[in-house]
Amino acid sequence: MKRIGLLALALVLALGTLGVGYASWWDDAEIVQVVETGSLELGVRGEAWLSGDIKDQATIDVSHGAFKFVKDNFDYFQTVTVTVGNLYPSIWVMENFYIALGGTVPVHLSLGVTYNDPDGVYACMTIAWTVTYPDGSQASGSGIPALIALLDGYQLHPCETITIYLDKHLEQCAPQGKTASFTLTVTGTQYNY
Amino acid sequence: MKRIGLICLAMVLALGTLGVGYAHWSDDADIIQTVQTGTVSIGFSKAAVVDILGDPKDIAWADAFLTGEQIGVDIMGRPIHEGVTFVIHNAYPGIQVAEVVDIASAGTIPVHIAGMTEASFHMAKTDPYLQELETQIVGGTGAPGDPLEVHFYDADGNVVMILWLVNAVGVQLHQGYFTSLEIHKFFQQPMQMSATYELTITLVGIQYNQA
Repeated sequence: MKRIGLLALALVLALGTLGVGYASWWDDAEIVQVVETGSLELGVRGEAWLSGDIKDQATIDVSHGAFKFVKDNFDYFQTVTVTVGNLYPSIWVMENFYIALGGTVPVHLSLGVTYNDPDGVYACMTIAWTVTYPDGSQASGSGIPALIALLDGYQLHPCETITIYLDKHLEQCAPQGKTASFTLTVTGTQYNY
Repeated sequence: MKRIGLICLAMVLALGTLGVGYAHWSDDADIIQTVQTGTVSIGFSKAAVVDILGDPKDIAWADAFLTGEQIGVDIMGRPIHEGVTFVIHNAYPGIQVAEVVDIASAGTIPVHIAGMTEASFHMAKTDPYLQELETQIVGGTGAPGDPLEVHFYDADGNVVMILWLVNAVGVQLHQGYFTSLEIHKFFQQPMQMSATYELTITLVGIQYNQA
């Protein structure tokens, strides 16, 4: 009889445990969060021409690198390269570089320059510039360092374009038969960084 | 003759026994037990973006809307829906989004909002390709006055988003009553450009006397 009682007690306890497992009623509800991040994409296009007593002796070529986006019916690229051949003193090289922001997040500009000029060609070249801002206002100066300083931190908004006009003039002191180049890198960083 | 007498006696006794069987009048009454169980049901009666902080250019914007079926009405007469969705457009690192949702009880049984675990969150980058993010609860419980802080990590172990939830866990809601859950999201630098991230937060309401 005592054994039957113990068995009954065990059964009750087992059922009780099962009851705890199924006891709680519950419901759930979901909060869905969707985040669509913006983008920033800086592109450039360029044009260049010669002026002065060129007599069709000097040549100029403009080429663009990888395509990035279209803005105002113009293609913008990763790079633009201007190559001048058979340049000689008294020739002017004029260039327009259009820098546009194709993304959705404003950027702060920063510029850097690297030279490959072992023979000192650029020491005999004057470079004047004019910057045209998106609102149409302009600023002018000379020398690449001053240009870099001017545009450092400038905030460019989506759909805006800034234009850099360069006017390069080779002086008489330039060495003959040499090749020189410089690369001006314009970087756009998210404005709030 | 004596034998006939015995037979008659037996018949009398038999009829008497039969009489006992029919003698008691009876009546009965039924007790009918009907059980109508209650319901536990939670939903949302409000979804709103309070502010987008750190976006002085107003280039990010947000939508908030209730989703799913209407499952009840809260005490302010607002419909309670099954779900809620927030969409942040043109988000970028450095901005914070403050949101509020009203969690409401649509059932007849009071509920407690259960504590949250890492399983309560699922975040993934869904575009341009699927990448699951890891979830880690850093601190807090989400109870009033004790914000729950959650970090979400990309495959490189970088924190992509920090989330704070305030004022939900442990709150008891009766039918039609609601509590305002505050949600703060802080987008971090490793967040990718031109991408879509989706986070699902699952809230659980448990019958109040078992929570």
